[in-house]
Amino acid sequence: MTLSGATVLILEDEPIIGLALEDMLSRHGASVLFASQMEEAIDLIERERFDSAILDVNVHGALSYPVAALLADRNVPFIFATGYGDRSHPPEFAAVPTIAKPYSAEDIRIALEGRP
Amino acid sequence: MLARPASIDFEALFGASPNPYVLLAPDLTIVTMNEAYLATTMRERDDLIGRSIFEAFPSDPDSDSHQLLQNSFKRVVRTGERDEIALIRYDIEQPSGGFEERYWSATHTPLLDVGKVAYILQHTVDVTELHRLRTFAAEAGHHAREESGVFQRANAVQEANQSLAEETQRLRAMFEQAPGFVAVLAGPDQRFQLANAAYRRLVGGRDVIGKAISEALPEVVEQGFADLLDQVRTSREAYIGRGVSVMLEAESGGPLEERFLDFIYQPIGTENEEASGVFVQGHDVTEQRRAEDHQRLLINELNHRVKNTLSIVQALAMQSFNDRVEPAAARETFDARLNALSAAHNLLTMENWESAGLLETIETSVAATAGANAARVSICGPDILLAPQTAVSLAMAIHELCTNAIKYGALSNESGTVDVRCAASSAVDNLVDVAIEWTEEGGPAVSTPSRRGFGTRLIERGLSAELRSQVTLDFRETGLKCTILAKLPTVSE
Repeated sequence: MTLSGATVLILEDEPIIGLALEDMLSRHGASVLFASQMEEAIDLIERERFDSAILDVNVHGALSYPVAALLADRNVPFIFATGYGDRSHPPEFAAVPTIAKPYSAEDIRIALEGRP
Repeated sequence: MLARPASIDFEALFGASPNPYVLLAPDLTIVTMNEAYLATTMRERDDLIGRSIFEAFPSDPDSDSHQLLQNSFKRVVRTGERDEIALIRYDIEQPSGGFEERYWSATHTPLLDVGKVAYILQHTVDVTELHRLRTFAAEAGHHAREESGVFQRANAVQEANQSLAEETQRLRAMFEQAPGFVAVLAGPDQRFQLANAAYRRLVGGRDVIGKAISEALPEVVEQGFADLLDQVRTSREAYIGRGVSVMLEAESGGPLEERFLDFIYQPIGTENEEASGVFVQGHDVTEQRRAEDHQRLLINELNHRVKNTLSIVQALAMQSFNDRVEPAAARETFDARLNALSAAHNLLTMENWESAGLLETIETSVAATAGANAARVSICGPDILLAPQTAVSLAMAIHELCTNAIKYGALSNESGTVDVRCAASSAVDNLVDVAIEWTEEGGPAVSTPSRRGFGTRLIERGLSAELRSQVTLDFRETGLKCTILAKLPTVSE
């Protein structure tokens, strides 16, 4: 997929980081659906159409894997963003591309588009 | 009970005694004797009475025997005290002629009359047979030397036993008081022979001595430690465990608790193919392990916060530097945002990053942003506690509101004011409804901005609440009114 013209769901509990991420994606021509809590993200998954997702792993102290499972069920491609450099994902998400904070716009583009 | 006879016939008693007695005058003339004496000396009464003892039983006056006997009689006469001869050879003339070799033990007792010795009573025992037996034994086995050798050896063994006992006692005391746990298990059923104080503490004070491990500590058998001990015993190869998790009853019969142990199982005894037992020695490193785990957790958490903070700084930089803003102005905006972020972090650091007060967070952010103009901002309400992430979001939102007020609003002139009013409901299901009203007055006329900048968007995005917050920005002509409504989880102190 390419970012241009795509709709991306962001799950990020830190508003300042979320805003910057939103801007990065906008600059690449993507539209953004923003959620700062897991319930909000699940709600958006059920109601909205989008092409891919970026999930912060730790959202208000909980892990976002239930949201990831929901996306996997619907075959929506997604990546993880995390501040925990040394944490490994559960086996079912071991192959999911993961970008470490702080990340650049290019990191996100490569992870989402799947090519450098 | 027998009646006591009116008088006792001592002469008859003397005559009937099985012990040989002879009574001498101080000049050693034989006065009388009993039947036992006549029998042991093989003489007739009439042959002896009235004769000197040395005349009746002649011996060489220069011989040791003669001297020994004569000196004993002299001592009794001189001192008036009893005298004893432990062993004396004094040969006796046989009725058939010739002398028979005889050994005697004798007691000479004086019979006193008005302080002077009137008679000497000799009690004599024939010990010839005893003497012969001893001599026979001596000839057969060099008994004198052997005996003394045995005695010396017995003494040496006795001393060695004593020092071994002391050594064992010292070692036992050392084992008992050792800071590490020590135990010795023996035999195929792993029976406890020794367990020191630290070991007994480890197993909840249970009495393990003399018991097989399956009986003493059933829970460790299930965890494979009995098999491990048996493997060490049969293979004779030591096992070293580091930070091994063991579930143990901390109190006898109580619930299992996890302990972490460094230990060694050392086979003991060298005589057989298998070891006779296993020496167990080690340390409880549970506290150390927990401290390490806690430290690792803190480092991970610190790493996460640093990464998150770098991401925030990166986002602030991206929002501050863009094509629409002069580089100098952009740097000023960025510096101010970093400053506000830093102030919020300082506040949280004072509270160990556990929480920050609502009013304190607003005051700190206002002070960091508005400087001297902070006096024109009044803040009131309850000082409820905020989670760290919420405090940072609120501090940055307040910073943007303040910056906006300084550039375009109530703080851009000399007389405008800002009124910040907070309210909080009482907690329901650990959630509190918080309302913050930011009302500007006395500034220049305000109109809704044509485009929404980062500040506005950040404020609108709210407080990083775990539940959605509602933010309204009302650009009234008299000044901006911003209302933030949020449901926040309660934070305990």
